[in-house]
Amino acid sequence: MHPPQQLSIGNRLLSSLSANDFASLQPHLEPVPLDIRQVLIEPNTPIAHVYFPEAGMSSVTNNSSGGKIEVGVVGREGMVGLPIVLGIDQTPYEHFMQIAGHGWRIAAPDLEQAMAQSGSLHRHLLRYAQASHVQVSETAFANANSDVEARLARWLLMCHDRVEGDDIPLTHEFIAMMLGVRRPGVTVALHVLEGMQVLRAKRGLITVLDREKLEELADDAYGLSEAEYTRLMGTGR
Amino acid sequence: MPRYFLHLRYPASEDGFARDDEGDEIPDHKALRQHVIETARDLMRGARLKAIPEWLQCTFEVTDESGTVVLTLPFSDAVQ
Repeated sequence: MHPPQQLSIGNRLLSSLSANDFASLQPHLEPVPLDIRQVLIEPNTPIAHVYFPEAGMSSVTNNSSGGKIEVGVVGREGMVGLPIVLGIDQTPYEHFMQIAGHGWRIAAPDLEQAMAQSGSLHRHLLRYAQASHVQVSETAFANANSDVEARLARWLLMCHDRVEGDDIPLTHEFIAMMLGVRRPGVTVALHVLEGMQVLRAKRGLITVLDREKLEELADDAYGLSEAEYTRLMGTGR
Repeated sequence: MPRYFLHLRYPASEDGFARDDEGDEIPDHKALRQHVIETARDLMRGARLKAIPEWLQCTFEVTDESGTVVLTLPFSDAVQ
């Protein structure tokens, strides 16, 4: 495998680095498949590798006794393993792949060393830490403020931002788990959205038909964190 | 383990029927009733939907794998 060239990188964090900072990471980047349900970071366990997805979507979850509930998502706009950027070696949350893809990984000590040698690299990743913090805060806002239809719309938009095309391969059961709602609540909401011709829901597959309408339905639950990402990182998702 | 499908009938201007294509694996009929009651209670407690202003007007129609209705549970029956 040839070393990755920055121009052909799909991960927005890596592609928006300065050429020098990218060059400092390049020898350490290892291509990896990111399989469905693959755990990238175990809770309360030292983080061995940091991941930069090129495709696919990973989920940050709180694994309580009642099941997993999602608090954040990461795709090609971000990285999995932010505690390392903050000088922390572990997190209480699990990170796993909810939509399969592929990406790059770097050993945590190699990233730490590169950040120690380059303030601009560290600052770049810290800006992403803030963008990620805003996204998780918006999840808290949506959970407190929005009904299931709007939360579902927000969540589908976040998936749509991170997949190629319009197909989102997820079951109702999985979405229910992620939103912290019983499955029939998600089924009704999908049924309503399907009736409005916003999407098509087949077993295990949701196809977005009308993104604009989905944004309308999500209302103020979607958009703020995405705009903040663009402002902070100087690049779209 | 047998799989049961929890279809939801809800009041709406038209077509208030959310079909469950995924289902849940439940060991037996007694456990099924308990599962359906708990699901209804959880929805009433926590799921705020525009489409369903009043969960108490909803009914679960549960079918087995052959499509036969094996249990009909109005949400009002799940209230403690």
